[in-house]
This record gives sequence, structure tokens and C-alpha cells, in this order.
Amino acid sequence: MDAEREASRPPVSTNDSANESFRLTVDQAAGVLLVRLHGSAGMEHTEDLQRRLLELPGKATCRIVLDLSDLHFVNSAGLGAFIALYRRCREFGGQVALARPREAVAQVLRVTNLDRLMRIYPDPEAAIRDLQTQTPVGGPSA
Amino acid sequence: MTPWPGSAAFDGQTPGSAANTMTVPSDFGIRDSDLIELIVPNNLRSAKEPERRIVREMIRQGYDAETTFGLKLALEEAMTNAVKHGNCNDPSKQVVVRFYVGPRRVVVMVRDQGRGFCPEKVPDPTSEENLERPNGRGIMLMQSYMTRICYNQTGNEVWMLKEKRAGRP
Repeated sequence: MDAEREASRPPVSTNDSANESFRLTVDQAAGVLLVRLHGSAGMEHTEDLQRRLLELPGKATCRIVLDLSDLHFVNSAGLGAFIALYRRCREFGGQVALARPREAVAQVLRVTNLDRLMRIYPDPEAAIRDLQTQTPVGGPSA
Repeated sequence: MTPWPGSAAFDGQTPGSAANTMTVPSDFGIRDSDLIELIVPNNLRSAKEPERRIVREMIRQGYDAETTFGLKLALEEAMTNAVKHGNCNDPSKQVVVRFYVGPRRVVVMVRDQGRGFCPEKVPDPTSEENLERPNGRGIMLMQSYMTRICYNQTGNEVWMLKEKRAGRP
């Protein structure tokens, strides 16, 4: 199992900075949304990223795992999209967890202290398991 | 992050004109004539072009992934600030980028046509009370990932220096 996990760990040495494509996929796993971010969330993509993330939360979909294992780049606007999602989910009584960021992205999260705002898990499965144990409480007053 | 001495006056209105061309900070280790200048329309899509050229050249010159990532991040923050905050998304405005990519260092200047700002007055985004704010991390990230950054007196022009790490190819 450890060997499998090690083999699937995102590479850290490849120079992906020229990669400019970005896409997002969503799956549902027993009450938790798994959102996978692929590519580079550069400045030309961050408005779309935030718009698409904020479409997701609802009463039944306020526990969300962001799988960052294939995210090569994020800037402060991308972080802002994560925070906007976090706040929206919390309005519904839910939670956002981050999973398996590449080292460069993990460093951005540490430098900005956002690892203190949103918990970072070593893999999406652990994050999903943890969020499945949490029951959404409350909701938006509107 | 302080203004450097000897900066020429800049009216913040006409980027790219000879009268407003400033010199590279003396401790950045290059000459003004080493810089390549690009003037781009004031939108984020156009603002990617300088980034593409700089990143491509860094990869060609063998900069490692971490250094290239940091430069790309700082440049995106500077360009976003210039387009959105400096030039207020005004499509009639432009952004000036001057850059140098050499074997030991990268220098980038970004200038907008805005009124400028005081970087010291931007709240610390890493403090507990600001963690949930969606904005305000750009300058801190530029400072964190660059070897040195500084602004002109007006605050509408930022210079960034990234040195290649010792012991790296």
C-alpha cells in the first residue's frame, strides 16, 4: 500500500511552468464532492475557477474535497477561489479539505498560512473518509 | 520593498514613453540596456505573453522547477495587480514589462498607468484575522518568492529580482 502510494505521489522535479491548460472535474462519493483540479490555475483561469467552485455548494453538497495532486500552479486569485468555496460551504454547515498538493502548491499554502484554515490530507480518500463522518449543520439564513 | 534612490519622476499616465523610462536598481546586477521591453494591452489574456516568454527562456537556460514556479507566481501577481488594481481593468490602458533572463538572475519590471499605492499599508494576509479574506496575498507572495522586490515612489512600478540558487546548474 505504501509502495502504491509512493508510486502515485505527484512528481516534484518536472518543470511544469510552461503548462497553461486547466480543467476541473467533479465526482460524488457518499455525500462528499470530490473536485479534481488539473493543470495550471493561472490568472487567465482563476475567474472561471471561482465561478465553477461556487456553483457546487448546497445543503446536500457542502462537504468538498479538492484533489490538488494534478494542480501544477496556483496564484493568489486561485487561493481566493479556495477561500470563497470554504466560506460558502461553511454557510451550509459544511467543510472543505485539500488533498495531496504537489510540493510547489503545498509551499504556497504554507507561506500564506492557508494550511491553518483548511486541512491538508495526504490523499483524497483520507479526506473523504474524514468528511463523511461530519454531519452538515445549519445553513444559510436566506 | 522600499522605493530606491534616484528614481526619475513618473506621471503614471504614459507607460513606455522615453520620458518615463526608469533605470534598473543599481544592486540588481544588470544594466538598463540588458532589458527587453514589452507593452501589452490591459487584460489578463494579453498579460500572459510576457510570462510565456520569460518562463520559456528560464527553462531554456536551465532554471529549476522551483525557481521558475516562483518567478511565474510573482509575475502573475504583479500583472494581475497592474491590470485589475493599477489600471482598473480599463481596456484603453497598457502595462509595460521590462525583463532580463540571464544565467545567474532574472529581473522583471511591471508598470501600470494607475495612481500607485503604498505597499506598506497592505494588511498582513497571514495574520489570523485576515486568513479568510479572499484577496490581499499577491504582494506577500511576491516578497516571499523573489530575492528582492522594490517599488518606485508612486507605487505603480515594481521591480523584481530572482537569483539562481547557489549550487544549482
